[in-house]
Amino acid sequence: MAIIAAQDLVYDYPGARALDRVSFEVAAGTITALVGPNGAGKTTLLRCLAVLDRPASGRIWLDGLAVADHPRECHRKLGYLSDFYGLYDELTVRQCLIYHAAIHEISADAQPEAVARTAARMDLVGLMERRASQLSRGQRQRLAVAQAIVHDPAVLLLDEPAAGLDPEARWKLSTLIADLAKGGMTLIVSSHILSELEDYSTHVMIIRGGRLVLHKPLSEAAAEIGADEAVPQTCMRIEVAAPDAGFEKVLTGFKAATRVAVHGTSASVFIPADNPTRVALLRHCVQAGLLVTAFGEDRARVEEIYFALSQTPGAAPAPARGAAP
Amino acid sequence: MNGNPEFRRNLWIQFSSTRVLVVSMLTGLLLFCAIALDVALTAQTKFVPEIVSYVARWLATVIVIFWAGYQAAGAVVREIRNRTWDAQRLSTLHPWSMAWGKLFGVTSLAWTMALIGGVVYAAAAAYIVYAVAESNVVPRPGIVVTLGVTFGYGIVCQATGLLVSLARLSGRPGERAGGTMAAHVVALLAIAVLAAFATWPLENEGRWYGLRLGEPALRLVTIWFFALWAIVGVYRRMRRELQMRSAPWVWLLFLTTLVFYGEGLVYGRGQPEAALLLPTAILILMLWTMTLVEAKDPLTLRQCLGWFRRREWGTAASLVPLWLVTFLAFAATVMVSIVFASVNPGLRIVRIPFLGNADALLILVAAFLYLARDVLLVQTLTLGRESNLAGVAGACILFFLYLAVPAVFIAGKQKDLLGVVLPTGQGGWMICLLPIAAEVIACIVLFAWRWRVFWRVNAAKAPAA
Repeated sequence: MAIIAAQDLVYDYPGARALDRVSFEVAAGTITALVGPNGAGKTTLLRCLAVLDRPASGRIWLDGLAVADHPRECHRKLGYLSDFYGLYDELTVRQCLIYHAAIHEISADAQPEAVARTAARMDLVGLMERRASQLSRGQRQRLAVAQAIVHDPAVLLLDEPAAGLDPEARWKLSTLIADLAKGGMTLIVSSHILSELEDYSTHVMIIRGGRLVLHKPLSEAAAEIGADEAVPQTCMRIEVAAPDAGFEKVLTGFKAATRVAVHGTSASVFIPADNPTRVALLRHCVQAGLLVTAFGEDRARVEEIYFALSQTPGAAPAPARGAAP
Repeated sequence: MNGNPEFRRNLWIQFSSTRVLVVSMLTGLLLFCAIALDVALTAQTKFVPEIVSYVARWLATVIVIFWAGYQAAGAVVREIRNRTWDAQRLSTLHPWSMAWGKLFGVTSLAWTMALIGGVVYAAAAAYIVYAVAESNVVPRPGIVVTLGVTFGYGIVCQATGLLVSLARLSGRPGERAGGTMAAHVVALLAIAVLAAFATWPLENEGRWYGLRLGEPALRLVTIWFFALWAIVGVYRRMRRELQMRSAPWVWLLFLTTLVFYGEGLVYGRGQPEAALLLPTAILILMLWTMTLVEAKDPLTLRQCLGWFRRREWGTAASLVPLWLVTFLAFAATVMVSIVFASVNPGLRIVRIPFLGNADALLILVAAFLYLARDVLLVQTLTLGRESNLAGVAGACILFFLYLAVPAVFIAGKQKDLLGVVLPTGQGGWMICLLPIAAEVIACIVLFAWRWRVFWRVNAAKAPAA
């Protein structure tokens, strides 16, 4: 059942159309990776879903409620973390959480329990009496996420939540997002760090130029790559023992490969989904002198799906893993 | 019991030990310096109650108007700058809770100090009245009224400042916060106008619709009337910010009560022409204010027109800009006044100070044309590249048109031709109406051209449909 439904959303800025007849449905309990280039309309879409901005036309329903008609009721069910969030630097972590619990109508009796639960979840217990201004960047990010989930919303919208976090903090955030979804929360996560989205996303939504390019379960999205090819495609993952300058050249030299993406010592190669081609690819790699340590079929990564489906015709090949689009 | 979380949050911030300590020390130091200076200059201590009374009263006034006024004007601006405004807009707090929590929360420390000042003033003034009978500094018109007026002005200033900063929000994402100082200056101008309004009853022995309330009472009622309306305005604008649909009925009710209140002041003074022109004058003031202050967003205007075309009246009414509502109210008021003037020939002749007699009908028609020109000019400016500066640019142009140009005419001893640049109602329709009618037509053409260009450029920039 769809917990979020959008129909024909149009949003204009002076000089640009940020959303152009965008329609989709998001099922409850899913994690949707919202990806697209800068200025694609991701933030505008999230702000419209969060009832912070009103689209010029089109409708949004949240858990069956039309958001334009019931903004306050929808805010009870929503958590949102913007890409450039702010904190009350003069307040302690505890005060920040109490305030956000209170403005989401959590009763005074229930506030201590909600605050304690969220603090434990976000690893903030030891920082409760510290002022927000005294927190590190990662701690501030955790507090911002804690504020967004303290009222246990049904839907959580995260806009670039991992920006500026160190690897450990990013890993913790990924774990948290997966945990929240396991608890029944529906999440839409916009991020430029595509490699991380695949760790927890169940769906991928690609938006470009204000238009929805793709919205599918991640497992099905891979099939979109090369869908225009005459033969069904599959994604093969190849690992080599050490970084090799000729790695990409060898793979692109395989004539049956329709797309190639190299990330350090691993690569994804899209080829026709038949055994003779798989065998031929492995033979091609070995004969070219690559020290292949792993070879097998894999689900396509968000990054690959994104670059395959959102890049403009004639654009450069997919950049290395982790690079911003 | 949750109380008001927004008010509580502001109390947490305002009443930090450092702030309280600094403010208390500064206030005490100021009072001590005033007393010490007075004793040093007069070499006596018998005037201490008077100087305490005087300083405490002015301290309270300065605090509620300048300190608390500035705090209130910047309440939302600071949230936007600190990027916390979106989180507040996402809350489920009722707009009324958000409005009063913010208005009285950010000013809570200032109000505490002002109330202490008020208590000190009241105690000192009471001591002077009851204990120092020979003193010639007996407070008039009374301690309670003085404090009521002071605090009333404070609330008008604070609520107007917050209201102006809210009205300047366009609701667009990534919005840059407007200046706190600008909102505070508008609030100070508002209390200057109110002060002029509130002293009107002085000439009238405090009569309102013939009812003799007395000057102090009428002044107090006037100030608090505006204070309560300013708070209502903050609430209504907050509703809009929190995405709740708000049709402009309350604004229309405010304009109506404003006219009704103003008419009560001129009632029975034997000046029917003043009663005729006052509603138009009040609406001119409000229309200029809204045209210059309110956020200007052609996209919202087009969205509003779009919802009207789709017959979604509720959504359309919630998007309609208040300058447009005020202009329609102004047009209706002018028409009603013209009908009154037409059926009552005795109302036709109006005496204008320094200029002599004028035709009320010509004044009304000319006023409509002048305001139509002004609104079109400012709206045309919003279609330019620097639309956020349209208000300031519009104010400069209006200053030039209404003050600089007439000053040139007066300096050139061409008073008879003032009707060409001001709605004086003198010189017949050729002088009074023809030039401004031509200006209005030119402004309509200019606006229509800019509107087409604006949307053509935007359509070209938007992705192909």
